[in-house]
Amino acid sequence: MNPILSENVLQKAKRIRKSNNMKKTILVLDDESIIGLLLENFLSTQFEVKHIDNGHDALEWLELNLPDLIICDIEMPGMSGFEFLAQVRQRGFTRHTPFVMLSGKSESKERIKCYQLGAQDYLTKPFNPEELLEIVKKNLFPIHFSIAW
Amino acid sequence: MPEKLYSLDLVKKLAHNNKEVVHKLINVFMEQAPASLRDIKSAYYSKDYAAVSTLAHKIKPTYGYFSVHGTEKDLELIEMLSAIESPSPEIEEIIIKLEQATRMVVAEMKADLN
Repeated sequence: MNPILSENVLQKAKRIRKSNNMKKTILVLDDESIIGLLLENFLSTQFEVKHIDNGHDALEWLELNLPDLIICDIEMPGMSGFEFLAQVRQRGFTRHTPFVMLSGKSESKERIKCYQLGAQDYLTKPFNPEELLEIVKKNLFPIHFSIAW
Repeated sequence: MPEKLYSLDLVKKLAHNNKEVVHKLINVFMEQAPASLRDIKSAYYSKDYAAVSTLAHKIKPTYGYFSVHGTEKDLELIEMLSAIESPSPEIEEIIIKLEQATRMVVAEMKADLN
């Protein structure tokens, strides 16, 4: 048996993960302070949440940090969520980071554009908290990972 | 008992019923909503209809989280009417209506906080 995949190693990794209380990190990008506060408060009981209010600062933060998931608004001054997503997908480290778009628009053309740029999911504001949590969990803990861990 | 002009159900859920957080969010709303409406009004009188549409779109979810009665549809209407080339004079009426509704909601929030 490959020692890296042995049961002992998996058990050890589980213990380390538990003892370090390693929380997954979520980057929330929204220029509306109320939405940022709401998301931060709602998600921070289970995850480490970093809220940033503009795309340029978020890209700078991503140079030194690697979140497990990004939640991003579309309509923002300076850099839109579309532009930010495109930049994130061009960068090696965040090429595959799960990305959830939040928008006040419910038109399918907006959704299609997000998916074409590489977003995994799309939620319309004001969102249902339970739905947001399920989308976050689905992206953070895909089935093949949850079975192994 | 008069009907409430807003509801905190969704905000409370998102704040995990944390009173301090809910109060903080109410304060942010009381500060930002009237300011955003002032910006919409000013953009309208400057004939910057694209800005009117963008600003209405931006604040719409905030009114939604506080379930401010009837305002979401008005904001949607402003967003749509401002996005077309020759905006309708209805916009001004809706902005004034929204300002009044916001003033009343803020007054109710202030009373609830005290």
